[in-house]
Amino acid sequence: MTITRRIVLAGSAGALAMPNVVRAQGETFRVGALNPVTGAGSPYGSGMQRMIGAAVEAINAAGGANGRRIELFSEDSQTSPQAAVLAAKKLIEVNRVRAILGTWSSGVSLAVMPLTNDADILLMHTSGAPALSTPPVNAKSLGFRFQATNDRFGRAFAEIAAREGFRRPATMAFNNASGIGNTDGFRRAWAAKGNQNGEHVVYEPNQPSYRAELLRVLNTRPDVIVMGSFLPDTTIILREWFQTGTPMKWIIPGWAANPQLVQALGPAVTQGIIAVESVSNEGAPAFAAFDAAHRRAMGNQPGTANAYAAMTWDMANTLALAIEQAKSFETAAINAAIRQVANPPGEAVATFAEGKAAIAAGRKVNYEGASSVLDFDQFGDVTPDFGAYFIEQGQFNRRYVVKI
Amino acid sequence: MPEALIQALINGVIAGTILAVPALGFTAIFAVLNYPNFAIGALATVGAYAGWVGNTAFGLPMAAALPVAFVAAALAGLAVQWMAVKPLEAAGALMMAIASLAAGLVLENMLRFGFGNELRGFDLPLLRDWRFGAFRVGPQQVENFVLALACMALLWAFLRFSRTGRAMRAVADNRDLALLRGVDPVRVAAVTVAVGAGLAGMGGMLVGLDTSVDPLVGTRLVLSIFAAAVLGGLGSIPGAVAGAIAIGVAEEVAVLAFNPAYRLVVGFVAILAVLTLRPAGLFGTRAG
Repeated sequence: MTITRRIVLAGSAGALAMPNVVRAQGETFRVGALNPVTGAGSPYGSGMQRMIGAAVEAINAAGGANGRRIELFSEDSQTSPQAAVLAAKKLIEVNRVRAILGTWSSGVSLAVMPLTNDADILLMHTSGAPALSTPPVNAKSLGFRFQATNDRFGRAFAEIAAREGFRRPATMAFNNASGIGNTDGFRRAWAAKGNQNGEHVVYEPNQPSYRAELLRVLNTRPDVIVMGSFLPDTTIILREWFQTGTPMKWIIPGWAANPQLVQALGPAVTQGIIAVESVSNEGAPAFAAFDAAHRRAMGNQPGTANAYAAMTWDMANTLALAIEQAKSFETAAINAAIRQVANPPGEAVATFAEGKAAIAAGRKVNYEGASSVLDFDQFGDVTPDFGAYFIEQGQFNRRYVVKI
Repeated sequence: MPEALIQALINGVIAGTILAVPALGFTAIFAVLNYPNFAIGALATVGAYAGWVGNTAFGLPMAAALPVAFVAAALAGLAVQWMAVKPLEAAGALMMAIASLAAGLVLENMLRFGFGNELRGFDLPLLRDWRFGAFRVGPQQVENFVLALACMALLWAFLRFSRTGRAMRAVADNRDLALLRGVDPVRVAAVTVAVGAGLAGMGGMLVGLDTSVDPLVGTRLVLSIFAAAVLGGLGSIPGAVAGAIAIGVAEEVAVLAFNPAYRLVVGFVAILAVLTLRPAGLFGTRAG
C-alpha cells in the first residue's frame, strides 16, 4: 500500500479525535494489575491477571463502582523487585492508577509498597513477609495482604511436622524475606513446642547447583527438611537430594511444591513430599463464581488450581465494594471502607453486584471471599487455613486442613 | 571435617571442569576479538535448549545432543556478533561489551517467548550417586565431567592441528603480524565467535543436564565464567581451564567455611584479588 497524503490526513484526524472518544466514555477509576507473569511466579501470574480482568468485567457489567467504570492497566512484575519497581512507577506516573493489585513474592511487594505509599494509593498483595504488616513498610496502612504471612505458614509447617511425628527437622531458606520468614516462623513455633531445632542453611538464589548447601544439611542427618523456597531452586535441590539416596521427608510451601515441580522431576522423586498451601474458601458462593470465571478464562482449569487467582479476584471485588460503600474515590475513604465491606457483622455477599444492591438498600455488607472469609485485622492481614497436600504418584492429595 | 572437605573438592573439580567449557569460549573470543562477550550466558542457554530439544523431541543421546547445542549456540553467537557487536566495533571494546550484554538479554527473552518459563528436564533417568566409603559422586556428574573433558580435548586438537586453529592462535598472539602473513581476519573472527559461542552452548547444556533448563540457566553462570577467565588471565586458554577449576573448588569449599549465603562472593573476591594483585591473571601475559 502506498501512503498517500489523504491516508496521512485521515490517520492524523483519527488520532486527534481519539481523546474525545475516550472522554466520551466518562471518567474511570484506574487500577493497576501487577502480577508475576514471568519468573518464579509464572505458574500463577497469568491466572492472577486474568481473574482481575474477569472481576473488573463483572464489576463494570454491574454498572461500575460508585458510578465509574474500572479501567485496568496490566503489567508483568517478572517476579523481580527491580522490574516490578519500574512497572509500578509506570502504572503510577503514566497510567495514574489509584490502586495496585496482585503483587506476588515478598521481595516484589516490599519494593513496590514505598512507591504506593508515596503516591498515597492502595496496594493489595499476596506476599507473606511479616514486615509488610507493620511500619515502616506499611506505615500508612495502605497495604492489604490476601495471603497468610510467612510466619503463619511456618507455624502451619510446625503443626504438620509435629502431627507427622518428625523429630529432627532441618531448615533451608532462599535468601529473601519470604524464604527466611517461612523457616523462622517454623523454628519459633517448633521451639515453642519444646523441641530442638536442627541445622539451618540460608542459600543464595540463582545458582546452578546447591549440592554444597544440601550436603551441609544432610550431614546432620535430619528426618525432614522444612523449606522456605521457590520452584527453580527447589527443583534443583530435590534432584540433587534424590541422587544422594538419603531417606528423609520434605515439607515445602505450595508455591514451590506444585504440579510444575512434579512435571520437572517425575513422581519417583516427589513421592511423599508434603506441600503446604493456603486453601481457598472452597465451599463459599464467592468461590463458585470465581471457579466459573476461572474455567472460562483458563481453558476449563478449575479454580482450585490457583489459590492466588482467587486472591486477586477478591482484591478487585473488595476494592470496588469499598468504593461503592465510601461513595468516594479518595484513597483515605476507600481505605476506611475496606474493613466495613469485608469484615463482619453484615449481610454475607458473594459478588460485587449482590453487595452493590445491599449497600444501595442501606444494609451493611460482609464480603465472604473466594480465597478466604477475608476478614482483615488491624494490620490488613487475613487468616486463611492451610491444606497439607501429600504428593503420591504425582498426585496432590489433601489429607487434612490446619487451622492456626 | 576432612571428609566434607574432600567431598567438596570432588564436587568442585567436577563443577569447575564443566564451567571450563563456556569459560574457554569466553576467553577465546576475548583473545581474538579483544572484547568480553557477555552474551555468553544467553548463548549457553541457547545451547541448553537446543540440546534439550534434540534429546526430548528427537531422542538423541547426550553425546549426540551436544553437537546440536554447539551448532545452535554458534549460529546464535554469529547473529549476535554481526547484528549487535560488529556495527559498534569502531566505538571500542566497552561498547562491544555493552552491545553483547544487550544482545544476551534479547536472546534470553526470545527463549522465554518460545519455550516459556517452565523448568525443563532432559529425558534421563535420575540415577542415585555411586558411593565410595564416605564419598559420593553422581553418574550424571561423571558423564558430564567426561563430556566436558572431551569438548576440551577437541578444542585443543582444533587449535593445535587445524589450519584455522593455528590462524586463530596467530591472531591472538600478534594480530598485525598474522595479518601481514595473509590470515583472513574476517574469517578468523567468524570462526572464533562460532567456536566460542558453541563452547558456551555445550557448557550450558552440561549444566542443564545436571540441573534443569530454564531461560536463566546460562545467565546464572556469567559471573563464574567471567571470574574464571579473569583469574586464569583473559585470553589464555590454559588459564581459563585452571581458573574455572579454581573457581569451582572455591565455591564449593566456601560453603563449608562460611554461611552459604556468601557463596556468590567467591567470584567477586577472585576478580578483585586478581585485578589488585596480578592484573594479567595466573596465566595471562598482558594486563587485559
